[in-house]
Amino acid sequence: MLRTGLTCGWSVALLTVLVGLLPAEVGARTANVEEPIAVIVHERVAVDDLSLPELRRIFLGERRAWVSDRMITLLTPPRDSPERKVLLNDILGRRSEDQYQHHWFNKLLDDGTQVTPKITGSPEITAGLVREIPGAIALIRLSRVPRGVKVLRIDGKRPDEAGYPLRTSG
Amino acid sequence: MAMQRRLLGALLAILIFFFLNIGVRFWGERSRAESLAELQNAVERQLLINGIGRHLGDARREVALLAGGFLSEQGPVTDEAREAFAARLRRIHSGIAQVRAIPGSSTPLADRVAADARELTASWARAYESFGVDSGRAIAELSLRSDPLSRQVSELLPRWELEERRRVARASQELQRVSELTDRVAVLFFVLSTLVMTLVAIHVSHFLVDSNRRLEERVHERTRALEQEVQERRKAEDQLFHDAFHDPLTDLANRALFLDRLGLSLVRAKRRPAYHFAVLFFDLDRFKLINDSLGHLSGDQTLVTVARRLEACVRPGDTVARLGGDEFAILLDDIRDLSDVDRLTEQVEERLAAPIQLGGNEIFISSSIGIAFGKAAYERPEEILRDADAAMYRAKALGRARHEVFSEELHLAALDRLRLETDLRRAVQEQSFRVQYQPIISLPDGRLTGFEALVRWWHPAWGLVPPDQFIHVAEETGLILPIGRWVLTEACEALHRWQQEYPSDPPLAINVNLSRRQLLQTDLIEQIRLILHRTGLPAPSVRLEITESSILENPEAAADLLRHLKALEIGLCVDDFGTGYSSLSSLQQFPVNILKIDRSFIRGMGPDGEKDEIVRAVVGLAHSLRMKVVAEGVETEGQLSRLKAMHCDYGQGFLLCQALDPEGVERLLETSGRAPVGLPS
Repeated sequence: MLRTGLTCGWSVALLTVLVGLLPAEVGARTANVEEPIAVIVHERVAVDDLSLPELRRIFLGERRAWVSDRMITLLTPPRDSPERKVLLNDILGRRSEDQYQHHWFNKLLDDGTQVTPKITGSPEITAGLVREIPGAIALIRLSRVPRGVKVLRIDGKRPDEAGYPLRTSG
Repeated sequence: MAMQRRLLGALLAILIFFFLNIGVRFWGERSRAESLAELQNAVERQLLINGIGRHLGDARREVALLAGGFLSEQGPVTDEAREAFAARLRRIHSGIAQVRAIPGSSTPLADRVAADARELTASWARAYESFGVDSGRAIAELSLRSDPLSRQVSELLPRWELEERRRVARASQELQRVSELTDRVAVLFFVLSTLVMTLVAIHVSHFLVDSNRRLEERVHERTRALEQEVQERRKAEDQLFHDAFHDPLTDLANRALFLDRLGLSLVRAKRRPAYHFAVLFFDLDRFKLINDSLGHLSGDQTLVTVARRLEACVRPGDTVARLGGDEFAILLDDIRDLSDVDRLTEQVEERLAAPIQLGGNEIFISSSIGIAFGKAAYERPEEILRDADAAMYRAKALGRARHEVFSEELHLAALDRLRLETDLRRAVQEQSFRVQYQPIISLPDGRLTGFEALVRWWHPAWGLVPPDQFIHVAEETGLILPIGRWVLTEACEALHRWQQEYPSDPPLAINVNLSRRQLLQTDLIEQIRLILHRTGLPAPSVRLEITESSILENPEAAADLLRHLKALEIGLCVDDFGTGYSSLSSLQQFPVNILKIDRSFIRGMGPDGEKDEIVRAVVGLAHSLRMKVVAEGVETEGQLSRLKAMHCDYGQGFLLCQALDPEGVERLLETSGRAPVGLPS
């Protein structure tokens, strides 16, 4: 029984690794199915629910800290990823990559802002960073949400609920 | 000394303020330099902090853009970018090191910023290294380490900059304050120095002015004193000059001035044949009587009166001089003929004949005047004066109170006199004298009692010269002193020898004449004592003969001298008695033993009896005064018999025995013994 459990566990892990090693196209293909994009934060962030506009402000760098004055660490998904598209289209209101980049150029040069987005890699890396960095916030497909992070409700809805606003396009 | 102290004090004050000024200036410069250095340091720190902030911002932005994926796709970072970023970080480190090297940069805030910045750059370096290799690690480094540090540095850096800016402001204010303060202090000290220098200058100036004034006053005083001294000295010199050429009693020219003017006249006469001058030589007659009888004061008054009278007679340009004693002279300058001289001489004689009032006494004075006319033949002024003197002597010899003009005969006589004087001096040196001895005979019994030593001069040309021809010259020249001494020595030696060879009782005596000059010798007693001691002759055998006039001229001195001679037991004779003005009563006060009646009285004795009574009276009175009497010049039997009849004690003369030389005396003593010697029976 134990051996069966261990074998099962190892199998899952191996599967996970293999999935992780799959090319993006594989993921993208996998993501072709409409899938909610979860907004995850460090589990100590004292926020459970965010409105979409508030989420936009966060990713535009207009809100810099959480309620507990903990600074927000923006972890943005890599370019051409489904999460990136959700960020540009759904959260930031259909902005292009150049507009988003231009926005942060301006902020860096004009405002001297201390909070700048940090582009991450795979969902596993992103998830690992969120777990590690207090105040970190990142976008990740719901299916890849690991344990040890907090998934926020957006406009009062969990990702798995109907009406959740952040979903990859089919 | 006070000036030196004041000047030293002023110099000290100037030096103190000079060094204070230097000190203030040094302090001001140092304070300004310190403030300026602080300001420069602060500015430099501020600039460096700005640079550090700029580099930090650039690095942060670069990291942010890199982390945000805005610079490149995720992938390895190129070596160039890595090196560029490292260089940027090195600049940050260099900036921090430079700031830290500046003095005064170590503050808690600066230390913290420096430490955070170093940690931040290290974190950035680690993150940068991980980009493209391990993005998760890089992001984790940035998020967990770099960002908080960056925020922290971003907060602290402006504060640090602000702090430095404030320090710049403070340093600037301090510099301004120090500059103002040092300027004020410098100005204050400058004003004080100027004030002190001005006060010192005023003080020193006043002091110098005062000192100068005092010095000038002293110089003026000294100058006045010197001028006064010079005037007094000049006056004294003038007085000395005047005294040197004037007689102090009469203020007439003295002999020196007279001879000088006489010399000038002589020179003039040699140059101008038409120029004539004359010299009048005056000698007051019997002036000594006035001195002796009325005193020297009266004598001086008489001389002054005579001087004024002579001055009143002469013309301007003539010179009146007092040559000494009672001798005056007048130099008549530029005379036309003899009548000028005659007129003036008569005028002088007339004026001098006027009586002179002397303390209630009215005296009359006359003068014997010798006149010599100046001639170019004279060589020296003394020669003219000598001739005038000779003429004056001629006038005196002719009876006084008259004038005589010098003639050639007088000139020849003067030459004879000069020759005589010269020969006499030589005779004294060569001892060309002889002593003859005139026997003195006791008249009652005809015995030889002694001799009178008579000096004779053996002249090589003239033979034996009798004393009346040279004794007066010897008296005037002073040669009588050595002659008299020689005669006394010779006579004493001879008599002592005769006393030894021809002893008698009482012993023979020797009479020796003593001139008036000898009487004045202060050591006469000592000379006589020495001669007696040397010759061995007893003092009682010596009798000194002194003329009546010699005694009366110096009565006090004569009395004193005669007392001393008397004490020596030397006999004293009054010679030539009757020729003077003394009386026997006046001679009584002198210790005289023997009276010798002058030959003029003896010669006057005779049948007419014209002098007999006088001689008798003298003999009688002398005897009554316990004096012996010697009759001089007994030449006739009649005189001898009368003298005997009058009880005259002794006699001497041609009748009794002529004067003998020593050999004659010895022959006399050998042949006749003591008495009677040639005494007529």
